[in-house]
Amino acid sequence: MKFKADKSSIILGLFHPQKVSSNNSSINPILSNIRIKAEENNTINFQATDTSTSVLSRIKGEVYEPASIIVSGKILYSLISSFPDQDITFELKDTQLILQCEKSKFEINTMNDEDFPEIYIPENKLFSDFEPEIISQCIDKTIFSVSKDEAKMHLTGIFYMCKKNIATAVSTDGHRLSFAEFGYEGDFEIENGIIIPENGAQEVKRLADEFTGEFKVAFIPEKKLFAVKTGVTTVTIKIIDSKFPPYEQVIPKYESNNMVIPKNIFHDSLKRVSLLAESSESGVIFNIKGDTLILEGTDTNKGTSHEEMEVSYNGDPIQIAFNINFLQQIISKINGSEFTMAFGGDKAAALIKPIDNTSFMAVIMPLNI
Amino acid sequence: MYREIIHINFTSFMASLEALQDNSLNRIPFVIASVNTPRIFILDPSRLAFQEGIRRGMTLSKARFICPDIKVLPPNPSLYQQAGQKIFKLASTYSPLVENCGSGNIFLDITGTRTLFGISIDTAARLKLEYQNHFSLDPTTALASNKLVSKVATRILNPAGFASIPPGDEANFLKPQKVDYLPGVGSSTKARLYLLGIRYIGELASLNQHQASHALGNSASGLLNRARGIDPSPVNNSLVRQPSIVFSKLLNNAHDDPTLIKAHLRLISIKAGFELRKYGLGARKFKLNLLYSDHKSTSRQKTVHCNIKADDKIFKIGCHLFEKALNRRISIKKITLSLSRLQQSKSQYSLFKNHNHQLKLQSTLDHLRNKYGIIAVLPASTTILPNLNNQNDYPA
Repeated sequence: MKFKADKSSIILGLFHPQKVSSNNSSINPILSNIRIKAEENNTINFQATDTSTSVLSRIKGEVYEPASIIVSGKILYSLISSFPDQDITFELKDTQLILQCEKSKFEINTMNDEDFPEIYIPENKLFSDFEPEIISQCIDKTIFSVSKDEAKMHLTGIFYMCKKNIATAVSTDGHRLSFAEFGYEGDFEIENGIIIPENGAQEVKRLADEFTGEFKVAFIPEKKLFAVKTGVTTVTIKIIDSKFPPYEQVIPKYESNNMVIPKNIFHDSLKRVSLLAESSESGVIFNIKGDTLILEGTDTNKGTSHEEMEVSYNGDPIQIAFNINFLQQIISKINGSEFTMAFGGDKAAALIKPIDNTSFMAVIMPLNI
Repeated sequence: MYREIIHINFTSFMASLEALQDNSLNRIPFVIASVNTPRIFILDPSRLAFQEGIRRGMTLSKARFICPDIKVLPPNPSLYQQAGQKIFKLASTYSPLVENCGSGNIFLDITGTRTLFGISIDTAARLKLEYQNHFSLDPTTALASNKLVSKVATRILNPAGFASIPPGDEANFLKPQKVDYLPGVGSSTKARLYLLGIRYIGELASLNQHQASHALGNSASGLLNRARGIDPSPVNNSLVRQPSIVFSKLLNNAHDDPTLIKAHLRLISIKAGFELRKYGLGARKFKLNLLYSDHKSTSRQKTVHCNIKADDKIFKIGCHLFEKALNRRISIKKITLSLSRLQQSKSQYSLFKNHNHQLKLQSTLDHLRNKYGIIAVLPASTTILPNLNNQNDYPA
């Protein structure tokens, strides 16, 4: 194998594959590598997979000898990044990949590519145009509440549905739920929704955020795959083949006990209370009476905290506790200067919504105090 | 207001309890040591053995070199546990703030109990007398304004002494004592202090912060405070303060069958989970240690994002660590599961009803186990274990 390409193209081609390959040594050591395939039509492919998310990046170069090899993605990316902005030559001699850039020359050990799994890339015709900022927003607003518990596989991803030009994303870990909804143009649909695993969703968001022209998505139900394609990179994600819980049933519709809270003041108060919290799972107690909200936190080692602020509340006095970390994550996703929090009792879910925006809402269950 | 802290130290606690069972042991030096292990360490020497120069942690071969005719008794964990509980119970009648440090070491905070029990020195003396009358054990007892000074006092007055250090006199009391008595001075710190010509606590206390930092590094500030008799640490009666809880199983016959070892691990997980929930705690760090029959060991650990307290989750993490740690084809002699980073676990209500089923099941199981014992309800996978009826088979 021998080919030459400029550094910026190679970095562009390697970025996503090395991200997917970097944390795979515990699953299967070969998956911590990427496959480099130089083709006769002067195309160089970089492939990586973690069995759930697969990436293929195609760049143009000058291919002198077509071939395919496997090499450590992390080492290769670090090396290429540190090279000067010049053309880089890749040459395979026996089992050594020789990288040459100006006067720098490195030899890297390679592996036989027979053991590397084949990556399925959907045909072009299966892809539809989609607005990248919609999918990026959907993931951004919901990824924080994805469950980390592998025993609840169906909660370890984002439920994503595109129906009647409305894209809906929902995630929950069983104690809180986040919901985002945005309108979009085009004819792409996933009528019954799919569950995109967290790692795959992060990769899709990265691709959407660096949007440079073409952005297409595809859902292949028979293979249970969701795919995203940009000019250079295609990401295919094996969706979680499970049923997402009936989230509509747990989103409350409260008529009263609504509190309007100034976001920045609340955010700062919460931050101060969290400084004295035992851990990220510590609770903050809300004491709401009239138009006054009192936040209280206690740490057996550090001390106690007391914050008071003016709010607008139209319900009965209530004392309720929430996980500080959960609240902070939700607040960080709210745009605007105010938001509402509605209560149904000290043991019932609270509903959090931005005041001037209906595209995002979150449900949070209280702590038992 | 000064605090009033009593430290009670039962010297050679295990050996004293054995001597109470068998009077003939009072006349000969003996040690407690687990003889089932090839490399035998002394768990507790009797007073006569101590006088011969035998110390806790010494190997049995060295102890036999010092005292060739020494008698060796195997440990009796249930006896020590029961006695420990009784001692703790008696101390608890004098104060709600009692800290059990294990091996017959108890701290009591009796601040503010004067109207109930009289002046504090009388309370300490009465407590010592009650231990003599009820248990035939004479503990070393010291009263001081903090844990550190009372602990140093019991170390100095060992065995069976009594002291009261008046508030404000802590530094004067510590000044003429050897640095060896100061908690936190181990063999390496002691060697460094001796090298600097510092042999007494008073000499250490007279150093300024700059000099101490040069000589002792990061530990200087803590050691200086201790040398000056300053110790604000409270008497803790909660498990939260303990750095970890540890459960282990010494296998009678070494095993290499993963199914059997996982069954032991399952039982350990149940015990650990039960203990955590009893104190309303959750653990975030798990460590599994496997001791092989050739006495080499491997361990693996995992830190998780959230507090874990459910049996199933503890077992799942334990299995994951077991599979990672099992890297040798040699029979396993002992498995130890440590749970640390313990935090108060507030229960979080669940959005979906099916999550509550798990909680309800766990709570019902806990209720049954609380009433009838840990082994009252067990998963079917543990039925392959021998001697399941022995409740003390998995010591914490």
